[in-house]
Amino acid sequence: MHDTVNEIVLPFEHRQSAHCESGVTANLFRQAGVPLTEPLAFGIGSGLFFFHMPFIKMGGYPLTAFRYLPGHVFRRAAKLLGIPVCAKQYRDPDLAMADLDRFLAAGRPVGLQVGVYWLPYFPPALRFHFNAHNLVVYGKRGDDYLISDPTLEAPVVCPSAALRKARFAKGIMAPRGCLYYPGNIPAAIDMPLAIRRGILKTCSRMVDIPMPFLGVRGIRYLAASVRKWPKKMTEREALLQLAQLIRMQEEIGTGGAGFRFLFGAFLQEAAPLLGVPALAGMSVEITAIGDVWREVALRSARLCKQRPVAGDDYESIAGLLLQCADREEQFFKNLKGLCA
Amino acid sequence: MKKEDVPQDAGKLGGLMELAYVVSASGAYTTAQSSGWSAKNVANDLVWEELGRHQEAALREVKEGRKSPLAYHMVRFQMNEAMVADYTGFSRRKIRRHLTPDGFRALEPDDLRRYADGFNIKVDELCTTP
Repeated sequence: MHDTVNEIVLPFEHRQSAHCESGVTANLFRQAGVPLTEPLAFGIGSGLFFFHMPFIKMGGYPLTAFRYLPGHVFRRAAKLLGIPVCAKQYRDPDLAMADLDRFLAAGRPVGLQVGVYWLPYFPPALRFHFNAHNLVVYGKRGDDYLISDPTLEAPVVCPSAALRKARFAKGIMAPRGCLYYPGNIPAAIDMPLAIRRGILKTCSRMVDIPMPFLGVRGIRYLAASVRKWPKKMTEREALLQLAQLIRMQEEIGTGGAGFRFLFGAFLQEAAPLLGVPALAGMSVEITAIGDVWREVALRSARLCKQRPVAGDDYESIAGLLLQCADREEQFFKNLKGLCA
Repeated sequence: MKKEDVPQDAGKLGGLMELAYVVSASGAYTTAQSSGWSAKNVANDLVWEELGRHQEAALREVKEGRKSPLAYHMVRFQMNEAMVADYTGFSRRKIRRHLTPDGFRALEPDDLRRYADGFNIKVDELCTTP
């Protein structure tokens, strides 16, 4: 039939990133001519956060996150850089796929929000019902879409049936076919201002929200929960909670230590751009705090493996978490002072 | 984390390399690829082992005639009743009925197809268990 013109390959520079959303943001903006790296996208978009909400369950485990809400990095970074965002959701999957083809035919790579579970190119061990994954579609060959998934080393292909299923994954944070791309890029972009505002937003979220489960207060709340786990549940249940905590902190997409290292890279990159050399020192401090988070994961893992060394118990893990909370509180207060 | 400390503990990621942000010898941030980290592998193994246990328990209930094959597939696809309802459009009350052997036997071919489509499998697979 008409299989002679069924290939579209748009020029798109695939760069691997740690976190899917900051990666897609940086890659899409760079394609549009804005010089953005993943750490800059993450920092300007205020991706870093912490919350622990045991009363909300995800897959049966209490919700603990090291980041702000999905979709926020792209929208917030675009807003601070003065770039309009074009985003659409769909009721009808047929229309959503046809629209995607239309954008590709018009020469525009687009970002998609998808459910990880239905993406065939991920190994089975990563296939959980997580509906806020992001990727870029930059072409189509026959019935396969050409995909730049920023968490992978290289671009991949995905059959259209699977992509359709992933775009219409159901459940919490259902993407409803969500498709997005940056609009017209303004002539002048005030990068230093955007960086400053991104940092200030992150700081105020971490220390100023008077709710016990958000920001550094949330870390203390988690510490108190960890202490209670061995008393109020069976040993296996408590270990599963620890395992889930490790996964949220370290699973693909955080860059290590629950985004703390990614934030450190951002501060280091921001220092010369803002002309505030002290930010480089702050980068060293958040890296050191990240190393404490890594120790939390290591100790938890030794407990999970039933191979504790002296001093490994829930009490000591809670102690490390409190140390993270205290140091992060001081850190974000100082950082706010530097950028105000 | 220092660049030389980047863990390379391949787990279940099947050769997938992830990106880590690390500090080089000069103190500058850079990136490095990692095939995995043992601490994370331990956590993943435990969580997958738990899922496997749920799956076995569901399978046992089906074999003993207390639940329908739908109950097994629901667990296999890591869903709960609310998610199955989202994927198929059936109400949770109906789903609970279809989770019983009698309720499942009464399903029309169209209804079976709705479940199969929800799980992205064939109707034959939906009606059987290993």
